[in-house]
Amino acid sequence: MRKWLPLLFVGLFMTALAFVLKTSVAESVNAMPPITPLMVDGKVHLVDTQYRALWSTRYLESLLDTVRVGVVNTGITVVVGYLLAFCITQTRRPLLWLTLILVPACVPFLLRTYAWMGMFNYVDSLVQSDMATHIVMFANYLPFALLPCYASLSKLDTRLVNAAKDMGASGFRIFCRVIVPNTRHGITTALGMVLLPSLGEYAIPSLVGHPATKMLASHIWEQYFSIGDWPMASALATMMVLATVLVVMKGKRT
Amino acid sequence: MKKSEILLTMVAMAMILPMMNMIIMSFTAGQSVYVMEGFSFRHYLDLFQNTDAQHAITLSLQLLALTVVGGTLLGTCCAFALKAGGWGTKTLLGGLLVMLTMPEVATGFSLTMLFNQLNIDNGLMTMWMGQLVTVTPFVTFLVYAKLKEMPPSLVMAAQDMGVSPLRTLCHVVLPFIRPSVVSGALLSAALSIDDFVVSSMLSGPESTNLPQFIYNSVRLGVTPEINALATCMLILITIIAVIAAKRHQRP
Repeated sequence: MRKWLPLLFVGLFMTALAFVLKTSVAESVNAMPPITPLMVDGKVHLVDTQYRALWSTRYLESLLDTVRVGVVNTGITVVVGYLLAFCITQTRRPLLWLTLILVPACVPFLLRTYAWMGMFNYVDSLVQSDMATHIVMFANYLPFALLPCYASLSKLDTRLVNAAKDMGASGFRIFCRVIVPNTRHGITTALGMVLLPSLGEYAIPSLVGHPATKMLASHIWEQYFSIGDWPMASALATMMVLATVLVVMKGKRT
Repeated sequence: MKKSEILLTMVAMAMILPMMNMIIMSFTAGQSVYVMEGFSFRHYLDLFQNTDAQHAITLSLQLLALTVVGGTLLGTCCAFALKAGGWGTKTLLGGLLVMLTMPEVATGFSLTMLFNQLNIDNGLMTMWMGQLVTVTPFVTFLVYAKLKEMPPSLVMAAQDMGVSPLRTLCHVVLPFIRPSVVSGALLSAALSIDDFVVSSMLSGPESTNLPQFIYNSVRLGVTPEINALATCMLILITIIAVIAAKRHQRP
């Protein structure tokens, strides 16, 4: 048995997930721990109130907010990241420019977020707004979009571009019909690497975002920390885990 | 200067501007974070007398050391075990990939439930476990990729020469995978010092690490003292990054 270590490590985490699943079907009670045991008087005691509550407007709205923030952020970050990566490949010293753009990304995310909060103080309309969330998330996720795009753009076969030029294609047409399709692998990697974490983002929207925009992650946080409804938090977490597993399985197949 | 270079300069400036603002504003003499009211180090002095901040820094450094050592060791060992292949390797890799992509809130919450069921009180120990769970998959994938690149002839040659397995490991395999292990360790350090979500879910009443301390202060607004703390951290990180880059260039 040579694989006991990773088995133990992954197994420990899977056990944690199993406990989340178990908690999500328990009943919330006012005690410590605030859940009912799985077995009461020799009978299995399960409730599905939490899963039904998921369909309430509160969580559906939050799901909508989450998807909106995630998709808008992914769109902005990947498009700008791709354009920046393209600009970098056009310069004479690409590595220098890449470092210059990525240096602020080495700063821990909380510091970066904090630094941006200081900037938002100068513009009143940006304090606690969705715009602020997008700016900070863009600053945080840019490397995840820029690096894969740059990797595939720098590997692009220049003969393709030259051939298109010889055929008389315009610069814009070359970009759309030759460069973008040939670097789509980098683009899909960038999309995945930005979308997944931004859907589960908690700290940035709660610090700089609009108070009415509630991410699913903040609901888990709130249910656990402020309200103390563990089963509800577990049900939300279970959904999040399921979504992650589905995406990973789908990503592995392609 | 070309058009693309102008655009890149603008973006780079926009990214650095907030940090410049933060550094400059940390030297203000007043309490306002909008207007510079003279130059002084008083917020730095305040910071050095703030015991909460000191506790937070101590805890963060302890966690950093524990996580870098533990995560790198565990990740490397896992990579070796998985490299052997065979039964269940794909499942385990999939499990690690799920751990890697899982939103931090979900990871932290699951571990909280686990420790609660096992009756383990939150504290340094649980925070360390949480950070290991976030960090180890990164190290494992980095080292695993490098191990797969290693030509089998290297080990075979050593074996043919009659070198013992331990010496083969130390003098052939480890030097080959060293770059990946080092990047894994650096990545764990970056993730550990930055870890807010998982740590807060797993921290006890007595344990507040630096990101939590910053978060709690920031929720009440930007202050010159936090500007000073952030500037200190920024300088420390820059020094580490420069050393890492220099070491990286040498060979």
